[in-house]
Amino acid sequence: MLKLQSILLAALCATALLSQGIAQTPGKEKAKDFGNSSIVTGMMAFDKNKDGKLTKDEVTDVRLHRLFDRADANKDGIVTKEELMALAAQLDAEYGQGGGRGGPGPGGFGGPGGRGPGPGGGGRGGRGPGGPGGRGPGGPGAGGPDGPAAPGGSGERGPGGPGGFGGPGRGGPGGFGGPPQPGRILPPFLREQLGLTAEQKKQLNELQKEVDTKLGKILTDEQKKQLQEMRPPGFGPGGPDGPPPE
Amino acid sequence: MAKPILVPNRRTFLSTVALGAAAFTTPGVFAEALALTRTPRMTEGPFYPPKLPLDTDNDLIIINNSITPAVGEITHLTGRVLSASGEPIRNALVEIWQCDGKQVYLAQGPREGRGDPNFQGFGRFMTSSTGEYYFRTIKPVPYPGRTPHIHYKIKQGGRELLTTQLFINGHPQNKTDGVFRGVRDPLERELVLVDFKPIPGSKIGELSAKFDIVIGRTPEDADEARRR
Repeated sequence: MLKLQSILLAALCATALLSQGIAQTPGKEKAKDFGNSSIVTGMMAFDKNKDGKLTKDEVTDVRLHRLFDRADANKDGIVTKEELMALAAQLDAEYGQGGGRGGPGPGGFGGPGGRGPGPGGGGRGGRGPGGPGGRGPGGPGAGGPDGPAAPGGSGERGPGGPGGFGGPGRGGPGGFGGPPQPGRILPPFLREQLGLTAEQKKQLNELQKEVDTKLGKILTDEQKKQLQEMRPPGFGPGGPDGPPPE
Repeated sequence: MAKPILVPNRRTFLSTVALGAAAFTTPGVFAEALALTRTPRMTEGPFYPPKLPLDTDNDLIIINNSITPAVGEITHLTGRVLSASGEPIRNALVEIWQCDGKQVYLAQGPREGRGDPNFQGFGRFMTSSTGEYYFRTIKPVPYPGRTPHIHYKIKQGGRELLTTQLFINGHPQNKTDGVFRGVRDPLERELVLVDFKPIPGSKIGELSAKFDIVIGRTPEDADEARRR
Protein backbone atom coordinates (compact mmCIF):
# COMPACT_ATOMS: atom_id res chain seq x y z
CA MET A 1 0.00 0.00 0.00
CA LEU A 2 2.69 2.39 1.05
CA LYS A 3 4.69 1.58 -2.01
CA LEU A 4 1.75 2.39 -4.27
CA GLN A 5 1.19 5.65 -2.45
CA SER A 6 4.77 6.69 -2.77
CA ILE A 7 4.75 5.80 -6.46
CA LEU A 8 1.65 7.90 -6.94
CA LEU A 9 3.20 10.73 -4.99
CA ALA A 10 6.32 10.56 -7.08
CA ALA A 11 4.24 10.57 -10.23
CA LEU A 12 2.33 13.60 -9.05
CA CYS A 13 5.51 15.46 -8.20
CA ALA A 14 6.99 14.57 -11.53
CA THR A 15 3.94 15.84 -13.34
CA ALA A 16 3.95 19.03 -11.34
CA LEU A 17 7.61 19.63 -12.05
CA LEU A 18 7.23 18.77 -15.68
CA SER A 19 4.35 21.15 -16.19
CA GLN A 20 6.29 23.81 -14.32
CA GLY A 21 9.11 23.23 -16.67
CA ILE A 22 6.90 23.56 -19.69
CA ALA A 23 5.13 26.58 -18.34
CA GLN A 24 8.30 28.51 -17.73
CA THR A 25 10.44 28.52 -20.81
CA PRO A 26 12.14 31.80 -20.36
CA GLY A 27 14.73 32.30 -23.00
CA LYS A 28 13.69 29.12 -24.75
CA GLU A 29 12.79 29.78 -28.34
CA LYS A 30 9.05 29.42 -28.17
CA ALA A 31 7.85 30.97 -31.39
CA LYS A 32 7.16 34.60 -30.61
CA ASP A 33 4.26 36.25 -32.30
CA PHE A 34 5.49 39.42 -33.94
CA GLY A 35 2.11 40.20 -35.37
CA ASN A 36 1.56 42.51 -32.42
CA SER A 37 4.86 44.32 -32.73
CA SER A 38 4.48 48.04 -33.17
CA ILE A 39 6.59 47.64 -36.31
CA VAL A 40 3.75 45.64 -37.81
CA THR A 41 0.73 47.40 -36.33
CA GLY A 42 2.22 50.88 -36.65
CA MET A 43 2.99 50.39 -40.33
CA MET A 44 -0.08 48.37 -41.33
CA ALA A 45 -2.22 51.16 -39.90
CA PHE A 46 -1.32 53.00 -43.10
CA ASP A 47 -2.95 50.35 -45.25
CA LYS A 48 -5.72 52.58 -46.49
CA ASN A 49 -7.32 50.21 -48.94
CA LYS A 50 -6.95 47.30 -46.54
CA ASP A 51 -5.47 45.01 -49.10
CA GLY A 52 -2.88 43.70 -46.66
CA LYS A 53 -0.07 45.41 -48.56
CA LEU A 54 1.63 48.75 -48.20
CA THR A 55 2.92 51.04 -50.91
CA LYS A 56 5.14 53.95 -50.06
CA ASP A 57 2.43 56.45 -50.98
CA GLU A 58 0.17 54.95 -48.36
CA VAL A 59 2.81 55.61 -45.70
CA THR A 60 2.15 59.29 -45.24
CA ASP A 61 4.54 59.68 -42.27
CA VAL A 62 7.79 60.27 -44.15
CA ARG A 63 9.79 59.41 -41.05
CA LEU A 64 8.82 55.80 -41.63
CA HIS A 65 9.96 55.58 -45.24
CA ARG A 66 13.37 54.33 -44.28
CA LEU A 67 11.73 51.54 -42.30
CA PHE A 68 9.56 50.82 -45.32
CA ASP A 69 12.64 50.40 -47.51
CA ARG A 70 14.25 48.17 -44.96
CA ALA A 71 11.14 46.00 -44.66
CA ASP A 72 10.77 45.65 -48.41
CA ALA A 73 13.05 42.63 -48.59
CA ASN A 74 12.40 41.75 -52.21
CA LYS A 75 12.47 45.41 -53.30
CA ASP A 76 9.22 45.23 -55.19
CA GLY A 77 7.97 48.54 -53.80
CA ILE A 78 5.39 46.71 -51.71
CA VAL A 79 5.63 45.84 -48.06
CA THR A 80 3.59 42.95 -46.74
CA LYS A 81 2.67 42.06 -43.22
CA GLU A 82 5.03 39.10 -43.44
CA GLU A 83 7.93 41.32 -44.40
CA LEU A 84 7.14 43.54 -41.42
CA MET A 85 6.97 40.60 -39.06
CA ALA A 86 10.34 39.40 -40.32
CA LEU A 87 11.79 42.84 -39.69
CA ALA A 88 10.24 42.94 -36.22
CA ALA A 89 11.84 39.59 -35.44
CA GLN A 90 15.18 40.87 -36.63
CA LEU A 91 14.99 44.00 -34.49
CA ASP A 92 13.90 41.94 -31.53
CA ALA A 93 16.95 39.75 -31.93
CA GLU A 94 19.16 42.82 -32.01
CA TYR A 95 17.62 44.50 -29.01
CA GLY A 96 16.12 41.62 -27.10
CA GLN A 97 12.89 43.42 -26.39
CA GLY A 98 9.35 42.43 -27.14
CA GLY A 99 7.46 44.17 -29.85
CA GLY A 100 4.41 45.44 -28.09
CA ARG A 101 3.61 49.08 -28.21
CA GLY A 102 3.32 51.31 -25.24
CA GLY A 103 5.18 49.09 -22.87
CA PRO A 104 5.97 50.44 -19.46
CA GLY A 105 8.43 53.25 -19.61
CA PRO A 106 11.88 52.35 -18.41
CA GLY A 107 11.91 52.62 -14.66
CA GLY A 108 8.69 54.43 -14.77
CA PHE A 109 7.55 54.05 -11.22
CA GLY A 110 9.25 57.12 -9.94
CA GLY A 111 7.44 58.87 -7.18
CA PRO A 112 6.63 62.46 -7.73
CA GLY A 113 9.79 64.46 -7.88
CA GLY A 114 11.96 61.54 -6.99
CA ARG A 115 15.58 62.57 -6.94
CA GLY A 116 18.78 61.07 -8.11
CA PRO A 117 21.56 59.83 -5.94
CA GLY A 118 23.41 61.91 -3.39
CA PRO A 119 24.97 65.33 -3.47
CA GLY A 120 25.28 67.12 -6.71
CA GLY A 121 22.40 65.17 -8.08
CA GLY A 122 23.02 64.20 -11.62
CA GLY A 123 20.26 61.69 -11.22
CA ARG A 124 17.20 61.88 -13.33
CA GLY A 125 14.39 62.38 -10.95
CA GLY A 126 10.82 62.45 -12.02
CA ARG A 127 9.23 65.73 -12.73
CA GLY A 128 6.39 67.14 -10.79
CA PRO A 129 5.40 69.56 -8.11
CA GLY A 130 6.50 68.81 -4.62
CA GLY A 131 9.59 67.02 -5.76
CA PRO A 132 12.53 68.11 -3.70
CA GLY A 133 15.49 69.00 -5.82
CA GLY A 134 14.84 67.20 -9.03
CA ARG A 135 17.88 67.60 -11.19
CA GLY A 136 21.57 67.64 -10.35
CA PRO A 137 23.15 70.77 -11.72
CA GLY A 138 20.36 72.99 -10.51
CA GLY A 139 17.13 73.89 -12.13
CA PRO A 140 13.81 72.17 -12.14
CA GLY A 141 13.73 68.53 -12.90
CA ALA A 142 12.72 67.74 -16.39
CA GLY A 143 10.64 64.68 -16.85
CA GLY A 144 12.14 61.39 -17.70
CA PRO A 145 10.28 59.03 -19.96
CA ASP A 146 6.82 58.11 -18.87
CA GLY A 147 5.91 55.42 -16.48
CA PRO A 148 3.50 52.56 -17.00
CA ALA A 149 0.02 53.31 -18.14
CA ALA A 150 1.41 55.19 -21.04
CA PRO A 151 -1.03 54.32 -23.76
CA GLY A 152 0.04 54.51 -27.33
CA GLY A 153 3.75 54.51 -26.97
CA SER A 154 5.57 57.46 -25.52
CA GLY A 155 2.34 58.67 -24.10
CA GLU A 156 1.43 61.79 -22.28
CA ARG A 157 2.36 62.73 -18.85
CA GLY A 158 -0.33 64.29 -16.77
CA PRO A 159 0.42 67.31 -14.68
CA GLY A 160 2.52 66.48 -11.71
CA GLY A 161 2.73 62.95 -12.95
CA PRO A 162 5.41 60.60 -11.87
CA GLY A 163 7.73 60.46 -14.88
CA GLY A 164 10.21 57.88 -13.82
CA PHE A 165 13.78 57.80 -14.83
CA GLY A 166 14.92 56.89 -18.29
CA GLY A 167 17.48 54.50 -19.63
CA PRO A 168 18.48 52.10 -16.92
CA GLY A 169 21.06 50.51 -19.18
CA ARG A 170 22.35 47.00 -19.22
CA GLY A 171 25.09 45.55 -17.07
CA GLY A 172 27.78 47.90 -18.17
CA PRO A 173 28.18 51.62 -18.47
CA GLY A 174 25.01 52.19 -20.38
CA GLY A 175 22.41 54.49 -19.01
CA PHE A 176 23.33 58.04 -18.51
CA GLY A 177 22.97 60.20 -15.48
CA GLY A 178 20.69 58.22 -13.27
CA PRO A 179 20.42 56.18 -10.15
CA PRO A 180 23.59 54.34 -9.19
CA GLN A 181 23.73 51.10 -11.04
CA PRO A 182 25.14 48.00 -9.47
CA GLY A 183 28.59 47.37 -10.87
CA ARG A 184 29.17 50.87 -12.11
CA ILE A 185 32.43 52.20 -10.69
CA LEU A 186 31.88 55.91 -11.19
CA PRO A 187 28.65 57.38 -12.51
CA PRO A 188 28.93 60.18 -15.07
CA PHE A 189 28.07 62.97 -12.68
CA LEU A 190 30.89 61.94 -10.39
CA ARG A 191 33.26 61.70 -13.31
CA GLU A 192 32.28 65.21 -14.16
CA GLN A 193 32.68 66.48 -10.64
CA LEU A 194 36.09 64.93 -10.29
CA GLY A 195 37.20 66.46 -13.57
CA LEU A 196 38.90 63.36 -14.82
CA THR A 197 41.61 63.68 -17.45
CA ALA A 198 41.26 61.90 -20.76
CA GLU A 199 43.82 59.36 -19.67
CA GLN A 200 41.96 58.71 -16.44
CA LYS A 201 38.70 58.33 -18.29
CA LYS A 202 40.31 55.86 -20.64
CA GLN A 203 41.67 53.79 -17.80
CA LEU A 204 38.36 53.98 -15.99
CA ASN A 205 36.52 52.73 -19.03
CA GLU A 206 38.92 49.84 -19.34
CA LEU A 207 38.49 49.02 -15.70
CA GLN A 208 34.72 49.20 -16.08
CA LYS A 209 34.86 46.79 -19.00
CA GLU A 210 36.90 44.38 -16.93
CA VAL A 211 34.47 44.61 -14.05
CA ASP A 212 31.52 44.05 -16.33
CA THR A 213 33.07 41.01 -17.92
CA LYS A 214 34.05 39.47 -14.61
CA LEU A 215 30.73 40.24 -12.98
CA GLY A 216 29.01 38.74 -15.98
CA LYS A 217 30.88 35.51 -15.36
CA ILE A 218 30.10 35.43 -11.66
CA LEU A 219 26.37 35.98 -11.88
CA THR A 220 23.89 33.63 -13.47
CA ASP A 221 21.57 34.86 -16.21
CA GLU A 222 18.69 34.82 -13.76
CA GLN A 223 20.60 36.98 -11.31
CA LYS A 224 21.59 39.42 -14.01
CA LYS A 225 17.95 39.65 -15.02
CA GLN A 226 16.95 40.33 -11.43
CA LEU A 227 19.50 43.11 -11.16
CA GLN A 228 18.14 44.73 -14.25
CA GLU A 229 14.58 44.56 -13.02
CA MET A 230 15.48 45.90 -9.62
CA ARG A 231 16.96 49.14 -10.81
CA PRO A 232 15.14 51.78 -8.85
CA PRO A 233 14.25 54.91 -10.75
CA GLY A 234 15.98 57.95 -9.33
CA PHE A 235 15.38 57.88 -5.64
CA GLY A 236 17.43 59.74 -3.13
CA PRO A 237 16.94 61.31 0.21
CA GLY A 238 13.79 63.24 0.06
CA GLY A 239 12.22 61.03 -2.54
CA PRO A 240 8.93 60.04 -1.06
CA ASP A 241 8.67 56.37 -1.75
CA GLY A 242 10.59 53.50 -3.01
CA PRO A 243 13.84 51.79 -2.36
CA PRO A 244 16.80 53.75 -1.06
CA PRO A 245 19.72 54.33 -3.38
CA GLU A 246 22.40 51.66 -3.62
CA MET B 1 4.17 75.15 -47.14
CA ALA B 2 4.01 71.40 -46.57
CA LYS B 3 0.56 70.05 -46.06
CA PRO B 4 0.10 68.24 -42.79
CA ILE B 5 1.00 64.58 -42.77
CA LEU B 6 -1.96 62.66 -41.49
CA VAL B 7 -1.62 59.16 -40.17
CA PRO B 8 -4.30 56.65 -39.32
CA ASN B 9 -3.45 55.02 -36.07
CA ARG B 10 -6.31 53.91 -33.94
CA ARG B 11 -4.38 53.14 -30.83
CA THR B 12 -2.63 56.48 -30.73
CA PHE B 13 -5.91 58.14 -31.61
CA LEU B 14 -7.68 56.45 -28.74
CA SER B 15 -5.00 57.48 -26.31
CA THR B 16 -5.14 61.03 -27.61
CA VAL B 17 -8.91 61.05 -27.13
CA ALA B 18 -8.62 59.68 -23.63
CA LEU B 19 -6.24 62.42 -22.63
CA GLY B 20 -7.72 65.32 -24.48
CA ALA B 21 -11.11 65.13 -22.84
CA ALA B 22 -11.57 68.80 -23.45
CA ALA B 23 -11.35 68.12 -27.14
CA PHE B 24 -14.68 66.36 -27.08
CA THR B 25 -16.32 69.71 -26.80
CA THR B 26 -14.69 70.81 -30.01
CA PRO B 27 -16.80 69.45 -32.83
CA GLY B 28 -15.03 67.90 -35.78
CA VAL B 29 -11.55 67.85 -34.27
CA PHE B 30 -11.26 64.11 -34.27
CA ALA B 31 -13.43 63.54 -37.27
CA GLU B 32 -10.48 62.09 -39.14
CA ALA B 33 -9.07 60.05 -36.23
CA LEU B 34 -5.44 60.70 -37.13
CA ALA B 35 -2.31 61.10 -35.08
CA LEU B 36 1.41 60.98 -35.82
CA THR B 37 3.50 58.74 -33.63
CA ARG B 38 5.09 60.99 -31.08
CA THR B 39 8.82 61.28 -30.70
CA PRO B 40 9.67 59.39 -27.51
CA ARG B 41 10.98 61.25 -24.47
CA MET B 42 14.39 60.51 -23.10
CA THR B 43 16.37 61.51 -20.08
CA GLU B 44 17.86 64.97 -19.98
CA GLY B 45 21.09 63.69 -18.47
CA PRO B 46 23.27 65.81 -16.19
CA PHE B 47 24.76 68.16 -18.77
CA TYR B 48 22.08 70.64 -19.64
CA PRO B 49 24.08 73.85 -19.19
CA PRO B 50 23.44 75.25 -15.71
CA LYS B 51 24.22 78.72 -17.00
CA LEU B 52 23.68 79.73 -20.57
CA PRO B 53 26.86 80.50 -22.47
CA LEU B 54 27.29 83.91 -24.06
CA ASP B 55 26.68 82.56 -27.51
CA THR B 56 23.51 80.53 -27.85
CA ASP B 57 22.89 80.85 -31.55
CA ASN B 58 22.30 77.99 -33.91
CA ASP B 59 25.91 77.70 -35.09
CA LEU B 60 27.75 75.51 -32.62
CA ILE B 61 30.90 75.39 -34.67
CA ILE B 62 31.89 79.03 -34.25
CA ILE B 63 31.65 80.91 -30.97
CA ASN B 64 30.76 84.57 -31.49
CA ASN B 65 33.45 86.19 -33.62
CA SER B 66 36.09 83.56 -33.19
CA ILE B 67 38.01 82.60 -36.30
CA THR B 68 38.75 79.09 -35.08
CA PRO B 69 36.01 76.60 -35.73
CA ALA B 70 35.31 73.57 -33.61
CA VAL B 71 36.85 70.25 -34.51
CA GLY B 72 34.51 67.67 -35.96
CA GLU B 73 32.49 66.64 -38.99
CA ILE B 74 30.42 69.67 -39.90
CA THR B 75 26.74 68.77 -40.00
CA HIS B 76 23.76 70.78 -41.14
CA LEU B 77 21.03 69.59 -38.84
CA THR B 78 17.46 70.43 -39.80
CA GLY B 79 13.96 69.26 -39.13
CA ARG B 80 10.47 70.32 -38.25
CA VAL B 81 8.61 70.41 -35.00
CA LEU B 82 5.07 69.14 -35.54
CA SER B 83 2.04 68.42 -33.46
CA ALA B 84 0.55 64.94 -33.37
CA SER B 85 -1.90 66.02 -36.05
CA GLY B 86 0.89 67.09 -38.35
CA GLU B 87 0.59 70.84 -37.87
CA PRO B 88 3.85 72.78 -37.66
CA ILE B 89 4.58 74.20 -34.23
CA ARG B 90 5.85 77.70 -34.69
CA ASN B 91 7.74 79.82 -32.19
CA ALA B 92 8.91 76.73 -30.45
CA LEU B 93 12.37 77.06 -28.95
CA VAL B 94 14.56 74.15 -29.99
CA GLU B 95 17.66 73.68 -27.87
CA ILE B 96 20.39 71.18 -28.56
CA TRP B 97 23.50 70.28 -26.62
CA GLN B 98 26.19 67.65 -27.08
CA CYS B 99 29.74 66.91 -26.06
CA ASP B 100 32.56 68.26 -28.22
CA GLY B 101 34.94 66.26 -30.40
CA LYS B 102 36.97 65.37 -27.31
CA GLN B 103 33.98 64.07 -25.38
CA VAL B 104 33.61 67.04 -23.07
CA TYR B 105 30.35 68.82 -22.45
CA LEU B 106 30.06 72.57 -22.03
CA ALA B 107 28.48 71.95 -18.64
CA GLN B 108 31.57 70.12 -17.45
CA GLY B 109 33.45 73.36 -17.07
CA PRO B 110 36.45 74.95 -18.75
CA ARG B 111 37.65 72.87 -21.63
CA GLU B 112 41.15 74.24 -22.05
CA GLY B 113 43.49 71.30 -21.99
CA ARG B 114 40.86 68.61 -22.08
CA GLY B 115 38.08 69.56 -24.48
CA ASP B 116 37.58 71.74 -27.51
CA PRO B 117 37.11 75.31 -26.29
CA ASN B 118 35.98 76.34 -29.77
CA PHE B 119 32.86 74.21 -29.67
CA GLN B 120 29.83 76.15 -28.52
CA GLY B 121 28.28 73.04 -27.06
CA PHE B 122 24.76 74.44 -26.88
CA GLY B 123 22.51 76.12 -29.40
CA ARG B 124 19.01 77.49 -29.78
CA PHE B 125 16.65 78.14 -32.64
CA MET B 126 13.12 79.43 -32.74
CA THR B 127 10.99 77.57 -35.24
CA SER B 128 9.50 79.44 -38.12
CA SER B 129 5.91 79.32 -39.30
CA THR B 130 6.69 76.04 -41.01
CA GLY B 131 7.94 74.60 -37.74
CA GLU B 132 11.42 74.25 -39.16
CA TYR B 133 14.68 74.57 -37.26
CA TYR B 134 18.31 74.59 -38.37
CA PHE B 135 21.64 74.09 -36.63
CA ARG B 136 25.19 73.82 -37.80
CA THR B 137 27.05 71.51 -35.47
CA ILE B 138 29.40 68.54 -35.46
CA LYS B 139 28.43 64.93 -35.94
CA PRO B 140 28.17 63.57 -32.41
CA VAL B 141 30.95 61.35 -31.10
CA PRO B 142 30.78 58.54 -28.53
CA TYR B 143 30.97 59.55 -24.91
CA PRO B 144 32.21 57.06 -22.29
CA GLY B 145 29.40 54.63 -21.75
CA ARG B 146 27.15 56.27 -24.35
CA THR B 147 26.59 55.90 -28.02
CA PRO B 148 26.87 59.18 -29.97
CA HIS B 149 23.82 61.35 -29.45
CA ILE B 150 22.58 64.93 -29.45
CA HIS B 151 20.29 66.17 -26.69
CA TYR B 152 17.17 68.09 -27.59
CA LYS B 153 14.80 70.17 -25.61
CA ILE B 154 11.70 71.81 -27.09
CA LYS B 155 10.06 74.64 -25.23
CA GLN B 156 7.26 77.02 -25.95
CA GLY B 157 6.09 79.96 -23.96
CA GLY B 158 8.45 78.99 -21.19
CA ARG B 159 7.04 75.51 -20.89
CA GLU B 160 8.94 72.39 -21.81
CA LEU B 161 7.22 70.32 -24.44
CA LEU B 162 9.76 67.56 -24.91
CA THR B 163 13.22 66.40 -23.88
CA THR B 164 14.77 63.76 -26.04
CA GLN B 165 17.90 62.65 -27.90
CA LEU B 166 18.82 61.78 -31.43
CA PHE B 167 21.06 58.90 -32.44
CA ILE B 168 23.09 58.02 -35.52
CA ASN B 169 21.34 55.45 -37.66
CA GLY B 170 23.46 52.34 -37.95
CA HIS B 171 25.99 53.20 -35.26
CA PRO B 172 27.16 49.94 -33.68
CA GLN B 173 27.07 51.32 -30.16
CA ASN B 174 23.34 51.98 -30.28
CA LYS B 175 22.68 48.35 -29.47
CA THR B 176 24.42 48.60 -26.13
CA ASP B 177 23.35 52.09 -25.14
CA GLY B 178 21.16 52.09 -22.07
CA VAL B 179 19.17 55.15 -23.00
CA PHE B 180 18.49 54.02 -26.53
CA ARG B 181 17.50 50.54 -25.40
CA GLY B 182 15.32 52.17 -22.80
CA VAL B 183 13.01 53.09 -25.66
CA ARG B 184 11.20 49.75 -25.65
CA ASP B 185 8.94 50.32 -28.60
CA PRO B 186 10.83 49.42 -31.80
CA LEU B 187 8.81 51.83 -33.90
CA GLU B 188 9.69 54.68 -31.56
CA ARG B 189 13.36 53.74 -31.68
CA GLU B 190 13.18 54.16 -35.43
CA LEU B 191 11.95 57.72 -34.97
CA VAL B 192 15.07 58.90 -33.15
CA LEU B 193 17.55 57.33 -35.55
CA VAL B 194 18.95 59.93 -37.91
CA ASP B 195 21.00 59.51 -41.10
CA PHE B 196 24.08 61.69 -41.44
CA LYS B 197 24.55 61.91 -45.17
CA PRO B 198 27.40 63.54 -47.08
CA ILE B 199 26.28 66.66 -48.91
CA PRO B 200 27.01 66.20 -52.60
CA GLY B 201 29.44 68.80 -53.83
CA SER B 202 30.71 69.82 -50.43
CA LYS B 203 34.45 70.33 -50.63
CA ILE B 204 34.91 69.97 -46.92
CA GLY B 205 32.94 66.80 -46.36
CA GLU B 206 29.90 68.38 -44.79
CA LEU B 207 26.99 66.21 -43.73
CA SER B 208 23.27 66.78 -43.54
CA ALA B 209 20.92 65.28 -41.01
CA LYS B 210 17.17 65.57 -40.70
CA PHE B 211 15.26 65.05 -37.48
CA ASP B 212 11.52 65.75 -37.45
CA ILE B 213 10.01 65.90 -33.99
CA VAL B 214 6.40 65.20 -33.16
CA ILE B 215 5.19 66.71 -29.93
CA GLY B 216 2.44 65.07 -27.96
CA ARG B 217 1.77 68.07 -25.84
CA THR B 218 0.35 70.68 -28.12
CA PRO B 219 0.26 74.25 -26.89
CA GLU B 220 -3.41 73.69 -26.13
CA ASP B 221 -2.57 70.73 -23.92
CA ALA B 222 0.03 72.84 -22.18
CA ASP B 223 -2.57 75.51 -21.51
CA GLU B 224 -4.97 72.92 -20.16
CA ALA B 225 -2.29 71.63 -17.86
CA ARG B 226 -1.53 75.11 -16.64
CA ARG B 227 -5.17 75.78 -15.82
CA ARG B 228 -5.60 72.58 -13.82
